[in-house]
Amino acid sequence: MSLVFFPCCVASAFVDHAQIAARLVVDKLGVQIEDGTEFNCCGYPYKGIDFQAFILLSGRNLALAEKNGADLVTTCGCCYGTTKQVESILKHDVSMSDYVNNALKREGLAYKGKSTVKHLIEVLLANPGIPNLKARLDRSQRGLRVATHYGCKLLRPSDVVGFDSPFSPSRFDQLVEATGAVTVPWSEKLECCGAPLIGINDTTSQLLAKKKLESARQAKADLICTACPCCYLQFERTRESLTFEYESVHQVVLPRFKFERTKMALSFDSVRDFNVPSLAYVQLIGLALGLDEGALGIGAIKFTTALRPCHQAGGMPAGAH
Amino acid sequence: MPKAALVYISLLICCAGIAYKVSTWFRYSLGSAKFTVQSRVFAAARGMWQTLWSRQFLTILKAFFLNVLFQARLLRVAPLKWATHFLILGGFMMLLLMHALGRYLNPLIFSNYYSTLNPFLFLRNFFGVMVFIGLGIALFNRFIRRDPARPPTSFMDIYALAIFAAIMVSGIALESVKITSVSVFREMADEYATGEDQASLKSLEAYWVENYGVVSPGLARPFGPESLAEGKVVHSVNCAQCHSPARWAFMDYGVSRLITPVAVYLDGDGVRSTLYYIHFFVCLFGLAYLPFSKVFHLFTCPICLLANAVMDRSLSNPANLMTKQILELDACTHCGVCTRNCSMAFIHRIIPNANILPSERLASLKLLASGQELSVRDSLVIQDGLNLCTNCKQCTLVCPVGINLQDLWFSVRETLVGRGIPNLLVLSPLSIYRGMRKDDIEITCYSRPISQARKAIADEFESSRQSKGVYEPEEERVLDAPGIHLGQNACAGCFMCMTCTNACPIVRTHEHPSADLDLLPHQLMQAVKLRLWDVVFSSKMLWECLGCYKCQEFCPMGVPATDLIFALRNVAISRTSRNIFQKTLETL
Repeated sequence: MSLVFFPCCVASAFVDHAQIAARLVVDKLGVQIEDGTEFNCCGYPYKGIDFQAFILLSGRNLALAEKNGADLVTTCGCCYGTTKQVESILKHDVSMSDYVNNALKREGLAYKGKSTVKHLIEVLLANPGIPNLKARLDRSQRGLRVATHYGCKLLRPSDVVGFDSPFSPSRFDQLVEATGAVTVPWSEKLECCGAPLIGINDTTSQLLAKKKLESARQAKADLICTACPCCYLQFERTRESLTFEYESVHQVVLPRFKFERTKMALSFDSVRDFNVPSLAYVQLIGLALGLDEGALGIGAIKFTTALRPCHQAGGMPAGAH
Repeated sequence: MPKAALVYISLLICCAGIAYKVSTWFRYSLGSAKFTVQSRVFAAARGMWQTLWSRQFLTILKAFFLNVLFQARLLRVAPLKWATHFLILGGFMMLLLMHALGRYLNPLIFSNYYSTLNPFLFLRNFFGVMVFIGLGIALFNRFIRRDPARPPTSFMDIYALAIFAAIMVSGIALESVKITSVSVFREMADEYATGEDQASLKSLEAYWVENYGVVSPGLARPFGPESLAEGKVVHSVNCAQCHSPARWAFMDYGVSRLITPVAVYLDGDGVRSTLYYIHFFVCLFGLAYLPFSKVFHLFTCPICLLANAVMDRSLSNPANLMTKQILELDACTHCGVCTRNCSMAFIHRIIPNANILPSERLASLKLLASGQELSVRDSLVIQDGLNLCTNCKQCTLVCPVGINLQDLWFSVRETLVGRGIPNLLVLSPLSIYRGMRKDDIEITCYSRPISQARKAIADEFESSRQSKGVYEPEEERVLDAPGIHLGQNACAGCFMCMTCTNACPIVRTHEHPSADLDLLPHQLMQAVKLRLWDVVFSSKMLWECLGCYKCQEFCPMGVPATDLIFALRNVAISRTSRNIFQKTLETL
């Protein structure tokens, strides 16, 4: 079955360089993946709003792939988990499957369960595979200590996704280790990055990411490697925001946040406590393949304006530490 | 001369219309920022002046040649549209210059200009065919090829197409009637072939009937070779200097052949002048109406493309950004490329709100920008469509005119937040975009949509708090709504072992979780079992859930806890949205 790229909305808007890097890596490795154009959103944000819309959106993507005799390939964990879940519902629930196929009839589409969705990690593990990959990589990342972050929807619910063990996953670690890097065990490895709450409850969202950053630092990781561009975005955003906060508290940058100082009671002693950079896995592999850093978009996340402190009036939420 | 006066009047209307339109760019506003008209005009003038003397001028030049003249953006996203665009634009422009203004412009360039001589005779038809092919493709794509991804055709599209088609058809009809007209032939012969006798005029007429498509009731074919030979001599003496063979006007000639059987009845001053005045008045109407039609993009698109080549949200003057956004509303040609590439357009088929489609939403926004009091219902509908957008940026990337649609949506979203109508779609990861752009939002407005939405839901289910004493089967079936996928029984297995609560990352971010979150995950499940809907739907836990699936994964009883939370959100959001909509309609 041929493969077709499925673009992610959040990644396209904010971290498009991660998708470009995926294309570069795939081309360099000689894996044949077509570019998909007519797909729609995977439906992830609609699961809690309109369940039928959610099913229909992913159902249409799967049907489009099926029409072309292809499997979807996504770089994003959320798109992957969402499409997997819809695939499973469509396979087991006849009424839902009828509903979707009826709605798609007008376009001449139908989903009969022939196409599926694959995460790019799965694709790379199957072809070229770990031994071939090791031969291709220049292993310049030797000794780099990497904290691997799978992302919730890549692992759970395991009976639907079936990517790896939900308790001690290792497939992504294998891929990262192929670059010559060392994966470190870290306590927060399986936790959520907090991205789904951005814009809804920023405080909690950043707190979750901060806990992960601190945990990675405690595990002496040089960087966090994420299997999902949204998590990558969340970590980098939080890191930048915390750095700004830290510096403003210590009056390194602007005096305008001076009065926030007492409220924030930062739980870290120095920037080093949370300052762990993140990379999307395609960027890490791209580096190991000897691709240009600029082309991979490393260091590309730049927030044009400084982020405000995440903790607004009300102080640091309890249990922050 | 009244005809010239009419031309000047329509030109005047056109200019006044353009001036009015330009003034709206500075008067109308979007978003929360307030600027005076004066400050916006000054900011625009200063910005343009500074750009003119900076290195950015080279960027502008490049954009001008590549994107404005060559329309590279359009070629990249829609090659067929590009071809159609240039067939119509090129053909019509050349007709305007060589035909409408031909009498004034051509003599400046060509020494021997007669509209009936080649190459003018041929070129006019050639350009006409270009326009016709372009219009044909446009009409075919709109009305015959039923493409589900194309946005609906608006009145503006129909007006523009109809005006072009009317100009072209009336022109061709006039020309072909003239070709067949024997009275026109005789008038010309009387005027130019003055020295000829009746017999030579007769053979000249025969020659023209044979070769120039004139339809004469008096003459019958076949003509004798001598008569034609004599006609040819007379023709070469009197007519040939000014008349290339009519066949060169291939389209007019072709149509004239089709109307041959009825040509005699069409031969009269009445028909010709009617056709002429139709052609003339439609042209003038098109000119006067131009600033208010979609053809106005002739002016707005280049400005928009050039402005976007050098403007940047983080660097440009906010006053100029606002002016640009209003200008962008005028620059939209309703080509539908955004809708074709929209990652949400598909959902329009199950949620019949045209504002889901970016191209249609932009059309609704014109009303909002003009500062007219938008009806509550319209605000509601626009907000609903707008908030379904995933902000994937595709529309902005593909827009051939370079409209920064994503920033436009952002401004409008904030404008609508200010109106205070709760919208429940914000309680989903669709809010990520807004959260990422927190810095561009007034800090006092930032959290308002979320709190409004939560309050609306809490109010909605407040009523189920009162004890009823009577068994109500509807209460039983809140979760069993169609399309929810999970039923009331989903949590039947829960025996409150608290595994979910212990696994929940949200619980762990709080020092006093049960006080902060209202309900812990296991309590939430229990409340669902007990059908305490007011407690369930107003609890913070329900709306703070990340959807990380840890609870569901770890549950020893296999309760799909996370999916149940999503199902509960579905119920709350659909019911509350419906009632908000009903209530606002009732208050009108």
